[in-house]
Amino acid sequence: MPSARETLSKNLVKSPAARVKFMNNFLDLLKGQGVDIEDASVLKDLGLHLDLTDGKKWFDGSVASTNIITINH
Amino acid sequence: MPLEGALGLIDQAAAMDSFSSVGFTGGEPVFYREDFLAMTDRLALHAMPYTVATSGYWGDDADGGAALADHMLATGLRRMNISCDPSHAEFVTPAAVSRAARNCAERNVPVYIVGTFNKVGDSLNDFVPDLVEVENVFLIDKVVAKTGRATKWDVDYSSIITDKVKTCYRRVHHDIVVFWDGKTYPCCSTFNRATEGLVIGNAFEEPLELIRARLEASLLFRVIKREGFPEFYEIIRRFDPELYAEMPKFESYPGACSTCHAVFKRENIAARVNQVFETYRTAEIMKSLDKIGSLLDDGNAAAFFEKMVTECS
Repeated sequence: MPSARETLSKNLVKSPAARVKFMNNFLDLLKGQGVDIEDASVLKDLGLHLDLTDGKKWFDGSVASTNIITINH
Repeated sequence: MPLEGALGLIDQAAAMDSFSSVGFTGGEPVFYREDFLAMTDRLALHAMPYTVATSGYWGDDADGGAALADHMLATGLRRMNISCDPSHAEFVTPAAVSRAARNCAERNVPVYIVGTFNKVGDSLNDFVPDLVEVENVFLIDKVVAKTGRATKWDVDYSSIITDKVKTCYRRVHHDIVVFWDGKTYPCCSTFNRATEGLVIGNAFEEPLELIRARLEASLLFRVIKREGFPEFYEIIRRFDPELYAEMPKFESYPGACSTCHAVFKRENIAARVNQVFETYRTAEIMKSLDKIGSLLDDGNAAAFFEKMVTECS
């Protein structure tokens, strides 16, 4: 019987939807396992372009700061 | 856009905790006054703030303009953006813009007047001098992008190309833009409708939450937002050198938006770029699994992978 990791890897390779779910959920699950997901070295180690630790760099110059839905006529 | 569709989008956005505001752009959103009032009333019900991008034509109507400003203030307007430059002045006078701006600014709503000129150095300071140093009014000069009517204009970008922007204007999160037909884009670039390869879904055919989930999970957008186009091209060069050789290059365009447009307006190139980033994402996820395995002890790692199997099934 394959391990959970093997099953997960297979799903992730096969399914774009699984990859979307992974990307959107894995940090919360890691946090649930006691990992400090705000630690810059942890984020760097995990890859996936996660680093947001230098806040000013990301928001400097932005007029608005988060999601906006625009309804165009 | 059908009103029911727009109201449905507002309800969906309000039900998610990730939307900070709604933006109305055009065309001219205030022109469809009954629809606009219905949508802003719905936003007020949800206590969801909003912004408006307008030509300011309604400033010509002194009483109506003041009443509209009162309504917007009461329903959650948090910023007014008014386009004002020689192109817009063919249809809306700077005097109307000035009155519309003052209607909002006097009510302590920040007003951004955006002038898009075809010559570097042209400025709103000269175009609407009566709005210089008005409290709550901010004048922003831009150089026109090669889109719409400006496609055929002779614009000299050479003096601004040395410090050109390498990343998306929004480094974190997204401006999710829904057009009248439901086609949904990840940003509010002026190139949107001419950049079919950027379409991320149709908000009339699937829930907004799914579209947002795909967008948040995209390494393509994460790379061009956080690292920028140099890294975007480097990844493509590594994974598909032939595609890299065929692509329009960052060096040939004045900034990130025009480069993005040049790449994603080409159906074949866009499809291959998306494929590269799908492959890249899969490879990066696999590497992250190794890291997670070493980050957690055996018991926690097993629990993580079991929960993830459920999440990702």
